[in-house]
Amino acid sequence: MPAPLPTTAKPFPPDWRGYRFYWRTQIVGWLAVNLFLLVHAQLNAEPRASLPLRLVALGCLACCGIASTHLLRGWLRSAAAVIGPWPRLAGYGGVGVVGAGLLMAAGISALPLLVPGLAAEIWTDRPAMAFVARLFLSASLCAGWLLLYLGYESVRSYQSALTDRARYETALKDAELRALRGQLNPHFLFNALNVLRRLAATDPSRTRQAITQLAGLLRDTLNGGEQAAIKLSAELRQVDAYLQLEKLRFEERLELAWEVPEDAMGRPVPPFAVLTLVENAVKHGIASRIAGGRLVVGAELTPEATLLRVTNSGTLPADPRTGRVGMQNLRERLRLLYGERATLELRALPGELVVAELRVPAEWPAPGLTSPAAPSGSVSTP
Amino acid sequence: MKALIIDDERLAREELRELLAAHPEIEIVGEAANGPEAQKRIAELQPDLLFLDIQMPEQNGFELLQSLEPPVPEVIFVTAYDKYALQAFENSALDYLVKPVEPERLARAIGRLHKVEAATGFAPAAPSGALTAESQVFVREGDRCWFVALGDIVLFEAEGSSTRVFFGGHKPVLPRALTALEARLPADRFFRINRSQIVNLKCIESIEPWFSRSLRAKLKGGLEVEFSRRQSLAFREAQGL
Repeated sequence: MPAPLPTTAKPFPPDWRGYRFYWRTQIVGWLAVNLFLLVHAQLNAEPRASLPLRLVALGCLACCGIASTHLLRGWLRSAAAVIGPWPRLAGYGGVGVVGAGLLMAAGISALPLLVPGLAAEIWTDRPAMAFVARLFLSASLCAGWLLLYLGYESVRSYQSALTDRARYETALKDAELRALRGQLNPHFLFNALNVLRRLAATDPSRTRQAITQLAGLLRDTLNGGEQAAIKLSAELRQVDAYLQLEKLRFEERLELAWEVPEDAMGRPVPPFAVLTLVENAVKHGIASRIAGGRLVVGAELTPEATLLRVTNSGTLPADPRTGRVGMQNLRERLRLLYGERATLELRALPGELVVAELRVPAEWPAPGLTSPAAPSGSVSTP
Repeated sequence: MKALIIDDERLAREELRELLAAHPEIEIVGEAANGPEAQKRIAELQPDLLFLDIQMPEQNGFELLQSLEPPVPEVIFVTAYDKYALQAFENSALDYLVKPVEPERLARAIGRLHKVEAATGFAPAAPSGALTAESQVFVREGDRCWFVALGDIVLFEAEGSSTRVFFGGHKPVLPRALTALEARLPADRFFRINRSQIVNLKCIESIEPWFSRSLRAKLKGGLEVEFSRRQSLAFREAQGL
């Protein structure tokens, strides 16, 4: 049994730090802006209002600014991805800025309702002109706010893409290590060698074939894992070599069947994905059962996805943590590579069967294993 | 020496058989492919020696040994690669072979067995099913395991339907009922001192009178035990005190 590898990564904790940062910046920023406007008004306008009155107004206006831009942020997040395609972003941003500006201007105009002492200053004799000026000022402030916000967001999402990429690479390294230490675990390797030693005496031609298969498996696991995905045919060649060798050990205890349609062979699949499922199935469905069992490797195609199924005799272990390191690792790789678009499910079927079902998108991941598909969670908070 | 090969892979059993052909003093009396089958074969064939694979379906090698009625035969473990098993061996100084088995290494393991045989007589079971001080049991605690001769056990203590055995500072649990053990232990070596304890008479260091005509004994390794009143009487009588 391979030693558990250090756990690669945990799901993101809720981003409280980001949330706190957002609110703190909002409050401090808007207070500062209004303080500036207050000083400006005190110096330039005829002092028609007292200082305490102005301070109350400052608080109200800061709240108004925070509320308007918070709504602007909500509008952007619900209507468009924050860091979306530029034309779309510009459209939504423009509408949002005008909307938030209107809100803010309306807020300023309504201020004397709360602070009657400012009525004379705000409700001038030319209300339309004053409102347009106010709208212009508010919209400019909102536009400035929007630029700062987008700048911050893009830096953040860039950083989070970097982190995800690092995590992806760590998970893949773990998978490679496991391929050497785990899938090709020493137990499998030495048992295979032991069987070959015996077979050499009785069936030299079968032995020679098996040695070639073992060599192929070793080579593939040593070279593999550099790409994000390989052709299903390549993955299944590896799986077949592995199963042929296990068949030598388990003989009639391992009953094999393939149900993979020919047109599935060109579909992409992450390296070691099916091998992990099959190794798991042999361990729990064959090796641990006196009578052995049946193992079926199957595939089903839809235009959007490839569905890979490994079925084995047996029941799900009562303790779901047992021997699941390989599966966890695969899950993590899938998540980083495909986000929510790949799924891996393990469930019991009637008739003492367990099926592992892997669904991966039919299109090839971006070439060269660059950034994993835009992670859906990265723009969740501010 | 009668040997039984226990491994779930046919080719692995064949391989071992082939290697053992070089040791004609080892007579292979049978094979078993899993735990339950092995229990049956051991009961009917009474082998002196087991070649035992660790990783087997449903009952691994250690579990099989724990389930055996004492006396347990000599065992040479054979394993491909199992980190936990190897750790157990290293902690417990048991002999094991790794697959594929090197002929020289096998010869050495068999040579060591001959030494054991010369030293202890190596006659595990009397036909009556009675045990001797040399009969060994297999016990495990955490990742350590031992073959321990009954004569080395200081104290047996009932613990539910199992028995805790005390020897050399260890106290693992043997999955056997105390009463069933008592019936088979040599009466001249072991004495039931109360409802839940049996002591090895050779391991008593001192005995002193205790309340209401009972006895209290100090055992090897610093253990102290009290006789029940009834068993104190029986003990005094038997020992002529």
